[in-house]
Amino acid sequence: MDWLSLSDVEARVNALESLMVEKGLAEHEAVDAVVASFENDMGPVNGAKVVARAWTEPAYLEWLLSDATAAIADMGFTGLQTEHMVAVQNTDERHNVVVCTLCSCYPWTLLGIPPAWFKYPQYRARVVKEPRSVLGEFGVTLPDGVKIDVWDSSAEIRYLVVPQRPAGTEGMTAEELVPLISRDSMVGTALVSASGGTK
Amino acid sequence: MHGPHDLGGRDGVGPINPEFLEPGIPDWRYPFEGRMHAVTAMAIAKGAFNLDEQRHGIELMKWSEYLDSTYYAHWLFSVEKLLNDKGYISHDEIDQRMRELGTPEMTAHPQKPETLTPFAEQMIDVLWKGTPHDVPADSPPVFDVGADVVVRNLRETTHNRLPGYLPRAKGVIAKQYGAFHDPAASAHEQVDKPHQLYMVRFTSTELWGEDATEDFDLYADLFENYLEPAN
Repeated sequence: MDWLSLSDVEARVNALESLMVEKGLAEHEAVDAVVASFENDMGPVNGAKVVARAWTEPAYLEWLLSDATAAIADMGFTGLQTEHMVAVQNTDERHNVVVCTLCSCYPWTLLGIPPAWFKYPQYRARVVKEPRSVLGEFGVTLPDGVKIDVWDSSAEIRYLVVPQRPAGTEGMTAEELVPLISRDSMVGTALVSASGGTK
Repeated sequence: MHGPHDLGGRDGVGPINPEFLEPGIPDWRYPFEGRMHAVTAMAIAKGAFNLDEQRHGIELMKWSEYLDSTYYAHWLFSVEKLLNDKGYISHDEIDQRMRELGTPEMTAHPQKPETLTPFAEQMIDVLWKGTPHDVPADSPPVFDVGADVVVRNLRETTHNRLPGYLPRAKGVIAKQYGAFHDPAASAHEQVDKPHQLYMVRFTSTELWGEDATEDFDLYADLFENYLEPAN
């Protein structure tokens, strides 16, 4: 087996699924359903709803920072890899960025499937040693006075970054704010701008 | 264990692949990735193996294969090994089936079926309910918040969740999480054994030396037996 060959891996996954179905460990239609759920229902719009509520309701922000699991469940978001949450807040003095150096632990319900950069060696190796330099590769430059906290999700706790609410959005409702809040801003590799993000 | 998965702090890996930073790149880049993810969740839901066993299986890949293969090749390697070793599906059976089926045409972004089978319903339920890993404690936490601790120099070759850049580093307990199931007991004995878990804060100079190029703090979540009091 050539683990480096994309076509070999694809053919082998196909063979594995076929055998798992025969042995009663999987169903093709259930695979379709799970893939579709991940792709369509679980994802960063859920995390953005949490952040937007935190931006617009001070009491909710306080709850989110003190008991993120309960505050997030209050929005209806529970599920795999979202069972035990901690929320960390970006401020003028502090910027948070999340990694899993051992695999790719990530709050699936809130943010979806982790992006490729989160799963591959470069980010995982370097962000715990040179976060500013890594953030630079994402186009994020922080003022010198901003302290960085890096979170390595080494156990079953998953992290949500509450990005800073951008200037110029003061009059906006939570619903209007949601589209501005990108996936990467909730991992800590992007900032939120009033004109919205692309990732 | 400090296998190929244990990447924190490694030098020489190069910049983040610019292709990964382009907007709109799908999180599952190839159709087999979502299917691999889904069948893994199903095998776990069916009780064929647990998540810690699946993680450990990945840790047993060869370094060269781990570093150069795509992410879901790691999952395939581990799931195949577990199903083979536990007697569900042999490597030979997969070889044979691969020859029979040849190169598949997989549909990207499948639709959710109109009506779900009971098993599909069960899987969607698992996705949205999750499987919590906290368990009742069998003893109180040893370390208080604010306590100075040092990470033990553990070099066991079995499963744990201790990143290899942390042993011998001094840190401070930032939070007590309570007891969670021990990943080693789960991976190797398939039992839920309570183990106190902590959030621990480290400085960048403690981790990377006085010449560390950047000044920051790092937090890791570490089990009690990875730690000892700092004197």
